[in-house]
Amino acid sequence: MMTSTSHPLVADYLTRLRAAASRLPADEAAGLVADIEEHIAAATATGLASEADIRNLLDRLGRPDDLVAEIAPPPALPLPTPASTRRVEAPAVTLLFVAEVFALTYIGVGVGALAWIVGLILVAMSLRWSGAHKLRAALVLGSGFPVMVLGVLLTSVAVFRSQGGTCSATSAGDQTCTDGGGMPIWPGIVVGLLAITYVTLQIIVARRLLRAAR
Amino acid sequence: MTADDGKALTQLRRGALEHCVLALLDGDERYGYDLVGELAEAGLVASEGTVYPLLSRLRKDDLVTTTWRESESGPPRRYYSLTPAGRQALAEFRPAWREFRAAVDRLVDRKARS
Repeated sequence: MMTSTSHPLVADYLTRLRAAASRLPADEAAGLVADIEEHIAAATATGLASEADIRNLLDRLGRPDDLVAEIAPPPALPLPTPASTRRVEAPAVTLLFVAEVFALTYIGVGVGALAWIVGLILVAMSLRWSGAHKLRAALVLGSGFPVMVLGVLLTSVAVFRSQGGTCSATSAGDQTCTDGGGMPIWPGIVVGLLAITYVTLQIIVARRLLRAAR
Repeated sequence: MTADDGKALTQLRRGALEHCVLALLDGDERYGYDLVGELAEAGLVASEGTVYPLLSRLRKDDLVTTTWRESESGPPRRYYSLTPAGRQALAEFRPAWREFRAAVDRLVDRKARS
């Protein structure tokens, strides 16, 4: 009897069943749909079914997803544990470097401090790093932010002082205060070299730590 | 009944259903709708549609076989019957089930009786 399988509720059910079965091998999907169609046809063969009858029939059949799951269990979700424990290390390293860069700016120090704190928390949370790794990350990478803040402060003080010194030295009035006029060049070079060495060391350590977390 | 009891029953039904189908087909061929109706009436299936995947698995395992027959009221129907392998599986299950049932009964009823 064609009326049963062409009923809108039945058509909708079969559409959902076909969609759910699409992850099965084609012959198994077709077999399941054919079996269910036959079941519905047989159930309604004795006469025109009322809408309530059809709803009951479909309810008793069960959800299309459950029928398909009976043939093949739904694909497992990607395992949450490695995904959530694995990717803490790279963000931690990135945040600590970001904090360091922000430390060099006056207006971004607050953002830097936040990145620094979150970065250190992530280091502590890591499940892939040993205690020694975490210590190295905290000492070599985590020191970046305070070291840079301190460096910027000291440089500012030094520049201010040297400028102040220049101004007070020109009491004659011929000379005006100029930027960094009285500041000797060599401390700048020493600090620059130290900074380059420090950052290079940090990059090497960061690469090793990331490799260890893989 | 707690949710855990429900789950346990579902597992038990699932385990026994296959052989209940074989038992229904013992000496008697049936079409799918008829089989499903009997299983549902016996309270062995929660969702009737799940019997069809089981039937196709039994067919694939060569425990049942199917033949199409004309029906007076509607399209041809597929009738299921036991294969020799299915009959043998059922014959082996019967004593095993009796033993299993007795063992579970002894353990489950022990506390209740004492």
